[in-house]
Amino acid sequence: MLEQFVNNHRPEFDSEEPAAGHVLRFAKRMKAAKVKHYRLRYLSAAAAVALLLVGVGIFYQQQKCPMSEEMREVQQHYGKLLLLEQEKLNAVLAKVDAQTRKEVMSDVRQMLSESAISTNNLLCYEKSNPTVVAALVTEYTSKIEQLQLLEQVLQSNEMQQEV
Amino acid sequence: MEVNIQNLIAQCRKGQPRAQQQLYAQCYKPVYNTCLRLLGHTAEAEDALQETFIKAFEKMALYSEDSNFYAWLTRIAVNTALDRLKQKRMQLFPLDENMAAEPSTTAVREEELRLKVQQVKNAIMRLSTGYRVVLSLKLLEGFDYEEISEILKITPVAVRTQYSRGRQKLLEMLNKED
Repeated sequence: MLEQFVNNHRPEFDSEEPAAGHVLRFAKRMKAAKVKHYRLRYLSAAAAVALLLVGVGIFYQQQKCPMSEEMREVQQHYGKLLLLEQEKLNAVLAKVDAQTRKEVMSDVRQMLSESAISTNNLLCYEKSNPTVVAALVTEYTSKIEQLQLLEQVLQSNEMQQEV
Repeated sequence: MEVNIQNLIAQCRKGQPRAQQQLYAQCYKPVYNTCLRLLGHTAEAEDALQETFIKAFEKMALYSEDSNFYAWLTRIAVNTALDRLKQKRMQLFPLDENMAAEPSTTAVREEELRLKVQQVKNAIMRLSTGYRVVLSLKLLEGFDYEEISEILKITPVAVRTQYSRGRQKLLEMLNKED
């Protein structure tokens, strides 16, 4: 009978109101909280690139084989730029909750293997090969551009939230 | 109205502050009442209400459009309110010994009670925290014993016992007022 009564009058049990001004208080709290509602697809891409960088960085550093001086210089120069961008992106990614990050990163690991240079082992040549150098530069610059784009998107999201 | 909510949810996923405010304005009431029943305190309930929505906006990407939004939101609200009770070290469950030592209750003839919503609401709020939580979850939030057992991390048997005793207490209170 009690259950039946509650069922029949269910909406009336939700009639209490918070104290006046609660909407404004909530808006204020939202502003202070700067809710981290990054778009999942951007988040996914950002984490992917961050991990990709780590993977690429590790790969290049692990090359123990002889390498042309030109290739080494290109690698060092662009490697530094990549690391700088990675740091910026990591600062943004640090705000993401662990569960989402974990989920995204598992997808990203697959992406790591998709490096033409690493899979074809094109670095290990003592004599400089202009085609390989160009490919290496392209790979690095492409990643840097992706990073910069992601940073812009994430930052604009954040600014939007603060409005 | 559901279509409107789905539109708002889509905008919230993009982090639109206006949509978040609108969604809050549209859904705050049942969430507040859930928090109030569990916490038994208006200021605490408002705080939990706000926290619930902030969490919901943060997790919006994880919400599946196939599921009921209110049910999803209620689950967040319940967890938020219960976390607060745990932080305050509120005793959610009377010890078995104490329960066994309670005097046997007078049989209440339910069919003779003339129930009124406000009376029932007031009586629920006067129950001890443990009874109030289980009774609210089962009677008003619509969770079944298994779900409550999962939420409170106790056995379904304990949930049934707690519900049955809480229900009895509630009827006794209503009987006295009747």
